[in-house]
Amino acid sequence: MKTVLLVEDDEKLSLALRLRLGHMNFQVHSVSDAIRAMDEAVKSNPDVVLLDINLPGGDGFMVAERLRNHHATMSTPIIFITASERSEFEKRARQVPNSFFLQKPFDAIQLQDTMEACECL
Amino acid sequence: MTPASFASRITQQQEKACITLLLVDDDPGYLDLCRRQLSKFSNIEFLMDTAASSAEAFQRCMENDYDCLLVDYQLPDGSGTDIVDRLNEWIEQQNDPSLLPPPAIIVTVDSGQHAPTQAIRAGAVDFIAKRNVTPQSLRRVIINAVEKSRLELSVAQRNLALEQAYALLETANGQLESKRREILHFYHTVSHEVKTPLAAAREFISLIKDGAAGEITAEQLVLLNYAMDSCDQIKSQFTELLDLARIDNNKLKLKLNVTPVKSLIDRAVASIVETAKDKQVSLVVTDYNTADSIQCDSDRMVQVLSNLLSNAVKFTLAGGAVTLSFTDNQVNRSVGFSVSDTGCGIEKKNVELIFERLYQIENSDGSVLQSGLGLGLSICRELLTLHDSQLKVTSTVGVGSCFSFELSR
Repeated sequence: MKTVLLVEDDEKLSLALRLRLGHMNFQVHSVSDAIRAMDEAVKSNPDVVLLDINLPGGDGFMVAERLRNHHATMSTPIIFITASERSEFEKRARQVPNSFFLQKPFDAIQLQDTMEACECL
Repeated sequence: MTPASFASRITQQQEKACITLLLVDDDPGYLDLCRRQLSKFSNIEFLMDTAASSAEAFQRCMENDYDCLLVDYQLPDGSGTDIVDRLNEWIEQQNDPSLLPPPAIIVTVDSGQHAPTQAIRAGAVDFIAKRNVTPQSLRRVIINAVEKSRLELSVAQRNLALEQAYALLETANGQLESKRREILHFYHTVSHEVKTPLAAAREFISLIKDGAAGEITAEQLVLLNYAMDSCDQIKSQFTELLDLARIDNNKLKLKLNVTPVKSLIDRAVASIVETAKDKQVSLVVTDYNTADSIQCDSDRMVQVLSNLLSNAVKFTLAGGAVTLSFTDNQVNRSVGFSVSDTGCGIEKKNVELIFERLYQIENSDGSVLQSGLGLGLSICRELLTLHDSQLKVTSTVGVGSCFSFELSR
C-alpha cells in the first residue's frame, strides 16, 4: 500500500481528503502545520506529499525546500494544493522539481489524475 | 509686495476706487508735475509715493503694495528697467504662482526706439515719452497698465485654481486606486477563505456519491449532483468577482499566443455540451477552416466563448438551437465569431444594460429570470477589449440574440 503525507490545516478538508485518499487505497499520514510536516515526512517517508501552501508555522514552499534538501525526501513527488488564485503561487510551485499544482476546490478525478501523473497509482 | 498681500488681492479681486502709484524720478520738479497732472480727475483717485533712485524704488516696493510703477528710464543708480529686473528676480525667488510684480511704465526722454525697446524687453508693461505726457495720456497709460495687470492676476488666479483642482483630482484618483487595491485584496482573502471549506464540502459530497459511506439510491444521487453544482456555482462566482477586480486594477494580463481556432472551439463547446443536451437545446457549430489560428490568450478566449454559449443555452427553451458560426475576413486578416440563439431575445431598451455589472434579466412581473451574479457579459466585454476587440450584440424579442466579435490572426 502506498503512503501519502497530507499537510492541510483546515480540519474538515483534511478529514475529507483522508477519507478520499483512503478510498483510493492510500495509507494516509496527516499533519496540520509546516513544522510537523517536515518531521513526519522524514519519519514516514511517504510516496507522495499533498501540501497546502498557506500553513501555520511557515508556508508550503518552505516545507518543499526543506524536503528537497533532505536526502530521504529529495525526490518525493509534491502536490501543492491551494485556494489562492495568485498566479505567482503557481509559478513558484512550478520551480520546485517533481511537483504538481492543484487549485481548491478540486475533484476526485483531478486528484486521481495528478496522483497518476506523479506515478503514485 | 508681500506674498500675503498679493495672494489676498488675487482672491479678493475687488474693483478699486483708487490706484496706488509709485513715481520714480530723480527730478523733484517732474515728480511734482506728475502729481498735479494726476490730481485733475474726479472719478479716480491716484495715491502717490515717490522714489528718487532704483534702489529706493525697490525698497518701497518691498514695503508697499502698488498698483502701478511710473519709472524714469534714466536714474542716478542705473536704468529704470533695473527695477523691473530686480522685481522679477525677487518674484521668481518667492516661488509663489499667485505673486506678480506690479506693472511698470517706463518714462523715456524722447520717443526714439532704443529706450522703449529696452523697457519692453525688460518686462515693462508700457512706455511713454516725457514730452508726450499730458493728464489724459498719463491717465490712459496707467489705467491700461493696471487693467492689464489685473487681467494677468485673474489668469494667474484661474491657473492656480486649476492647479489646485488638478491636485485634488490626483489625490482623489490615488485614493480610488488604493481603494481598488483594497477591494482586490479583500476579494482575494474572501475567495481564499471560502474555497477551502468549499473544497471540503465538495469532497464530502463526492465521497458520498462514490459510495464511500455506503450505497446510495438514484434519487439521492440526483440531489447530490445538485449540491455539487451549487458548490461549482459558488466557485465560479468568486472567480468572476476576482476577474473583475483584477480588470479594474489593470492586474489582468493576457498571455497572448498563436492559438488554433479548433482548440478554442473544442474546449468551449465541451464546457456546454452536457447542459445543452440536458435542456434539449441543439448545439450547432458551422464549418470553419480547421487549420486557422488567431492571436489570443487561449484560456481567456475559451472563457469568453463558453460564457456566450452558456448564456445562449440558458435563455433558449427546449427544442431551440444555439449556433456558433464564423466569418473569415481576409481584408483585415481577422476571424469573426458569433454565438446566436433562438431564445427570448432582449428588448431594445435593455441591450446596453446587459453589459452592466450585476444586471439580471427580469420577467415582466419583475422576478429574476435566471440566477447568477450577472458579471459574465461584463467580463466578456472587458476581456475582448483587452484583445483590442469589441463585443457586439443584435437581438429581436421572440426571435433570438446574436453576440459577435472579431479577433486578429
